Amino acid sequence: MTTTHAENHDDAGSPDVLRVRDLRTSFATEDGLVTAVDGVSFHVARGEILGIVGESGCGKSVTAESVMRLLDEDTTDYDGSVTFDGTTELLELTEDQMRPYRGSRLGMIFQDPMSSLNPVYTIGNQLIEAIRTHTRLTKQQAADKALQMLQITGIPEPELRLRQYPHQLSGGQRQRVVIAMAMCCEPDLLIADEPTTALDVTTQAQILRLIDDLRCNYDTGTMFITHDLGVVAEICDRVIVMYLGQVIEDTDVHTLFDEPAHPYTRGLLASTPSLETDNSKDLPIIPGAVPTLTQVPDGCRFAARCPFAIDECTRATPELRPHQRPGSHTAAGDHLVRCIRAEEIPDLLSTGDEQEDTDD
Amino acid sequence: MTHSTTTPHSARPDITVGSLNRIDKTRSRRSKFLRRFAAHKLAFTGGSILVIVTLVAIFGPMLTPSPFDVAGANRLQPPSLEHPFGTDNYGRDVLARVAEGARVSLFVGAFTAVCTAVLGCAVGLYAAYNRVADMILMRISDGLMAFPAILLAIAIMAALGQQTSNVIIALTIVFTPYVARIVRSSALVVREQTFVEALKAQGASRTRIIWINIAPNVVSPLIVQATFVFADSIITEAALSFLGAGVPPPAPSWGNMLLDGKNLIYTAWWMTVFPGVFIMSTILAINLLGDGLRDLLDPTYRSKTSGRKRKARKAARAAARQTAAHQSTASRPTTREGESS
Amino acid sequence: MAGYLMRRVLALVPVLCVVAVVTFGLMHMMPGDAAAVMLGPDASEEQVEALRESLGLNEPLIVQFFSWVGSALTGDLGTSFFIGLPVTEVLFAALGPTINLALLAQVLAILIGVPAGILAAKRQGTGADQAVMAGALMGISVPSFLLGLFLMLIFGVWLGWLPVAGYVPPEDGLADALRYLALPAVALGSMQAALIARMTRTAMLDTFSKNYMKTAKAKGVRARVSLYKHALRNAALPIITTIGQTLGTLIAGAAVVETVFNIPGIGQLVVNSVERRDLVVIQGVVLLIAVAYVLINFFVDILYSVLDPRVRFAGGDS
Repeated sequence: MTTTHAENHDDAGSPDVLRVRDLRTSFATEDGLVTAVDGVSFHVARGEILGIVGESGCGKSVTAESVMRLLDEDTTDYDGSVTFDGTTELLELTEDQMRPYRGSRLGMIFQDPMSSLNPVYTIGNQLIEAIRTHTRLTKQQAADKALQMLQITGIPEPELRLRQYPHQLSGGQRQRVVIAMAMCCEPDLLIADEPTTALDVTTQAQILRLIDDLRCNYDTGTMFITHDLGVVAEICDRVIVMYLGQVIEDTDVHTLFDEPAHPYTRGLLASTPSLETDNSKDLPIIPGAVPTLTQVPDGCRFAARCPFAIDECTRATPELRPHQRPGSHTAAGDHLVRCIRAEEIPDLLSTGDEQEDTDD
Repeated sequence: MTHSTTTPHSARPDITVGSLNRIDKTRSRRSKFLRRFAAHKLAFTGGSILVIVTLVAIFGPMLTPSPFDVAGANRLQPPSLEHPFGTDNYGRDVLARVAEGARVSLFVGAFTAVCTAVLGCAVGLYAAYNRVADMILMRISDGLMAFPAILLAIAIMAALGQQTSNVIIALTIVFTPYVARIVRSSALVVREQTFVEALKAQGASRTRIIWINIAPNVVSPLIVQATFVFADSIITEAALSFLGAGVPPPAPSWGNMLLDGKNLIYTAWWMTVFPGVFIMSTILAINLLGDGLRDLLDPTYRSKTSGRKRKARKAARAAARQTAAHQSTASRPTTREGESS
Repeated sequence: MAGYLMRRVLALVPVLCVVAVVTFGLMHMMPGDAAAVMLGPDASEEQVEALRESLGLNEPLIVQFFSWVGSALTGDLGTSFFIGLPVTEVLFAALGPTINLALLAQVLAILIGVPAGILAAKRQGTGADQAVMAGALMGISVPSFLLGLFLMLIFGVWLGWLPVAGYVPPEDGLADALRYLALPAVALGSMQAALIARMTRTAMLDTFSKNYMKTAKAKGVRARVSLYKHALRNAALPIITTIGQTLGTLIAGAAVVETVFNIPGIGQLVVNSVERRDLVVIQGVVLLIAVAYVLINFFVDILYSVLDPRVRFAGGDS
């Protein structure tokens, strides 16, 4: 298959807590086989926060759930390799071998704190369950640990929360509980699937700070999934951008914002409001809709929506390749892009001539 | 960035393809439904059995001796060539009576289903549309639903007197609240949609909005529910007749034949078994048909069907294998066991 | 909690009013002169007039209604003109066998339906699932009185394993009582078991798709624990509701099955009263069972609130 980023880092003793190579996740549906994640590769180092960005349906959540192996294995096929801590091949474990990893060395925070807690059990019950599943602590010890974790998350009145039911807590409080639950066994890898999407802005900032603190205190590697580029700028070290099941750009967070290479990434950045945006103009939008996974187009998957597309784009799927712009401060090979015209685009833009795309 | 507003590549093909699809969809919806119905094995089986029972009801009495012919010499004959289902204690042919009973049972069931559907639809729609009517009608239906169906039917029959037409009246009273509830909740969903607001704003009359715009949207659940009422009416009619409160003898109904059978259960098993098997198969057929129609008509139920998911998975796996072969990529199908939920 | 109880009690009022009106109305649905119909064609003018007087049929309808409600509230449901005893007395004499039968059938149905439904959900789409669902479809398609007749024919008449019909009260020997109740209870419980199995399956599948199940899996909880602790506990709520809602049907079904097996309960009382056109007794039975149904569902609601913290702490933020 294609040469990938991960292979470039394939040296022994690397600090990567997670290395995903050519991950392919397919579902059996009534409309046939749908490949939601198609050849995704990335790595997460200890203490690093990797952002995974994309529109809904681009496969970012499926990527996360594939790493945890949370999908219904009757209807899901995994392919590729997911290496945890340099040695363990997660996709090859049996369900019984996989289970001890979940919740202890792999922690996960879900998008919707309203529904990710069981409504009929108290917060304490659910936290204690998480702790006692992986340790030999007594109920009392586990309860102490649960309280300690809640205190770390900064939830007000943690003793009271332990006795309460999920519906008695606010959204932000519930998300803190979910974070406490994910962190209670001090995981090596934390997967946060849009942890702040359902929350208001103030709570969002607090939760982000909490995740950042935990990363510093526990040296946890974090996969941070989001569609919000503002959040990415705030918290992530490196970023991969996904479109329709594929990684289309992979770089550090500064390069992403300063020198986006893929037209889709450019479009995403342009459609994100910022303080510098001129409010008198409408924000540009990316035209067209995301194609569905059952009808993946040939060639570049973004071509139909891309202002720079040429005939060649629709002929073959472009590879994810190193991108090097003259004068760029990024080291060669640390910026990958899946676009055959990435180098030409800045020139095309500076001449302001977009309509020439049919001439080639 | 300013490049995003006019692009030759995006919008054009989308619009044409989309609108073509839409035209295509409306045109072929009916034949598509029939194809899917034929492909739905259970619904098709149910429909077929029901057709057979209906044929027995229509043509059976023409081909058999009269179900009312009393012949003392022929009393309690076991099944034979001459009387395939045997004879009863008056020497009447049980097959003939079962066929005649099919007429009575299917007629009562179908008539009740239609009456209930019409009445339930009207009540449900008005309740969904008018809040005051809703309060009153739904409290009444709550109250009626507090009576177990069979008991309320017995009581109404006791008051009205034993007559086939009264059975239909009683069953309609009993089952209408259930249909009205389903129609109401389907209509409530539609009522909240913007197009109804728009119609109101345009000044469309209430009758028009209810019958022209809302009613078509409740047709699917109504058909499904009417099918189940059909089955329940046949069961309840049989129970009523079995208790001596339904179709009055000597007219045969499957229920009152069973009552005769029970009294002679030691000597004439055929008097119990044959009408019993007919009731069972008919109800089973209607339930299969109803479940199938619900599958086909109600999209929210589709995903829950057993077996479907598995079949889809099998098909998809096969497709995957083919694609894999084409691309000659080393696909490694993961087969992990020990997963239970 | 108190507010919730209050609301539930208030919600009973309109339902009970409709129940009262319908039950009262039954007497007046009779075409022509109710008293004359009830007494039959051989009755003399004086007898009819006496019955009209004793039933209060000469009063205005509204007065009749309120005096009927008034006496019903004090436990006076009138006097059976055929047996000559107070309806309440006749009812309670017949209630024992019916309750025993219904309870036994309900227990059987839960013991079969819930595990079958869990199995079907756990193995969704497999042969086990299809077998359970096919069984449930059969259970729903065979009316209880018909199943009773078939069981009677097979196990009573042909095999001779169990008594064909009759009733022994549990006080006269539990083993004998169970032998006599076995076939009726299976006949009556099968449809209930089928309904419970279907509901259990649907409710379990519903919880499987919930996010908290994913959370439990992500926590590393064992599949078994996840199934019983997290899924079943949540699925229990709709299952209990189903049981409550079908209990009325079960009691009414008991009445029909009793007739099959000659059990001297409410069912026989109703059937005999229909023959005698003893409407006062029928009215009493209908009222009793409808009120029982409403009250049972009231208690199911209360039980629901005990099991579901979201209802228990109503007034919280969800």
